[in-house]
Amino acid sequence: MKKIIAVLIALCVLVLLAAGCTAPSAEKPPSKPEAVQDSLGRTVFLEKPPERIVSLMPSKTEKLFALGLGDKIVGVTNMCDYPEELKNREIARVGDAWNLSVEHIVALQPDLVAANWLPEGMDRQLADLGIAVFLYDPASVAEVLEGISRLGKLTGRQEAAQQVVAQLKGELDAIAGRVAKIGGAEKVRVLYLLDEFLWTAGKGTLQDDLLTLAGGINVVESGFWQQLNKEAFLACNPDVILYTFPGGAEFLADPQWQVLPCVREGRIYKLDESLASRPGPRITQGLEQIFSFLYPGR
Amino acid sequence: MRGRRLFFFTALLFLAVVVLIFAMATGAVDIPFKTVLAVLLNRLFSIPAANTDPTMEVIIAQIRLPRVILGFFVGASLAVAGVAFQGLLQNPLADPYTIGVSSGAALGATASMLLLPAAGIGSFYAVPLFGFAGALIALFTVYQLGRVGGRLPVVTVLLAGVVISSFFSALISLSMIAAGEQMRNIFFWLVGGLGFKGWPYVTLISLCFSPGLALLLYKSRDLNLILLGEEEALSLGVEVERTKKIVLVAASLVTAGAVSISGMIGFVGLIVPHAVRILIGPDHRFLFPASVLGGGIFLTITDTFARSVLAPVELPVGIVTAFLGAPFFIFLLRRHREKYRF
Repeated sequence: MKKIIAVLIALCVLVLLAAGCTAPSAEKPPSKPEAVQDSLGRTVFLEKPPERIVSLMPSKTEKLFALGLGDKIVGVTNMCDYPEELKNREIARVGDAWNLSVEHIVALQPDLVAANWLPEGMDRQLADLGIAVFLYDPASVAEVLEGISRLGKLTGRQEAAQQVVAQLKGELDAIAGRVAKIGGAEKVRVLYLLDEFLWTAGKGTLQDDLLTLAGGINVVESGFWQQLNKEAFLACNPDVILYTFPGGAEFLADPQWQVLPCVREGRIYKLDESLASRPGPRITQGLEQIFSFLYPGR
Repeated sequence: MRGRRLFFFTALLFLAVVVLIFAMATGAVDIPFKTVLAVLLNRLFSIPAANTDPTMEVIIAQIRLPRVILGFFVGASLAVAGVAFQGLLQNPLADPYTIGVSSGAALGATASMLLLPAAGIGSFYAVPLFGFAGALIALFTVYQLGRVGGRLPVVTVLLAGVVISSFFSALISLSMIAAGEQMRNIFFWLVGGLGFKGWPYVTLISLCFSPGLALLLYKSRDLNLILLGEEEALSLGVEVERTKKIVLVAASLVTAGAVSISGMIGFVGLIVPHAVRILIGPDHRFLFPASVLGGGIFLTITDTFARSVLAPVELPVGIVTAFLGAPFFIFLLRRHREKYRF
């Protein structure tokens, strides 16, 4: 139970720590908002472009800034740390991963609340108060782009969204071009380590998608978040270990892991969480970082 | 005794009103007491409120009020269930927790959150239904395991309760590992607490609480007679076995309502019944209503404390119930030791 809680918190922090935006696109008058589907299959529609947005995820905050909606944001979480502009502005903090204050959110009188996921009760509560809630929880890079374009439609920033998406696609293509030059035999087997309890990212996670796009092979083949036991961890013998948690280097320095060639040879790398596990507009930078660790100099 | 009871009930009622108003005036967002009072009077008695900020009105009427009422109901539910279990099993250690009914309700609720969304069914109203089913299964198992030769000895019932509790907790942990996408929802719910719960949850808990309490009150006289001795009760025309079953099922229903909404909140069902028993004696006709007020007041205070002491971060209310409850209980026990009767 404790481990589950630990990993959940770790995951949350991971998700929350990420994201970034490309340079804010030029201010353009917003066009008409369109109805979009959210992750739960619900249709969300705003009568007019939002004026007061509360973002409950760092990645959403970055996306909103990337769409030029930074000045419409009235509330963010304690984890929202990018762009730098956030630090200079008086902006309400409405809580963190497990402690969101509904009272605070409602007091900000938002016309849109954007998040990846909310506890069912809170989602219902906001809906009952007539506040539009947009939940979108990307589990792949393609879905990150899709999320940006839906957020653009929802807020009447279609054009800005298209620009951001086009730029990200360009960056993805560039990396794909470099990946294409890696021969099948050279492909690196990777383990994405989330914490010292050996929780790892398996199939169906954003992290797995990033590994694949960077030309790596995820050694964890089962789905979602998987906790390996020590034996399985040693047996999967990856070529590279990527980790995101503080203290990862000390953890892997433990003598019991020295039997792993990648640990002995120092093929263990710390990823910048806010890039490589935050499903926001800086995701391509995270991908770039992963690629450079898997295939240095390529 | 009568005068004492009258005083006691008046005091409890007064305290309940004070505590509820105090809870309403406390929250993450600072709202002047005047505004809170104005909105409350407006909602309750349609007294027109002079130009209050509509946002503040929403916070008070749609967020704080349902939460405070829900807390009162949850506390009342757990306390009433505690009285019923303690009385019927004649066991001072019985409460929804120790006899496994809480774990049963929790397992049922977990199952509904795990299975129903996968089948594409909304789980809102199903959670307490499944919780009730789980509570009944736990109760039945404990009853069967704990029975020795047609009697329910204290020791075997408690042992059976502990065993069932751990077994069900293990099942809950197991299902969380298998939960995948639903894990977040289940986790959030298990941690417990009354946050993020609006008016629909108040409806939900009152659907469990009202019939449960009504049954318990209806059977409270028979319950008193049974406690004097089953033989005597039988000779006075009480259907002993039937009454026992009704009381157990009603207490499980009330427990299920509370647990499926707020997760596992300990201690309330144990100490409030004792406190009330110490103060007004063992007559269930008065014990039930008194524990409604006592449990409600207790959980309202602890929840207010939980959400304000480290605001905006909320403490799990279960920590606070144990923290405030244990010393209070010891105090009562020491002062009233000689008067304590079952």
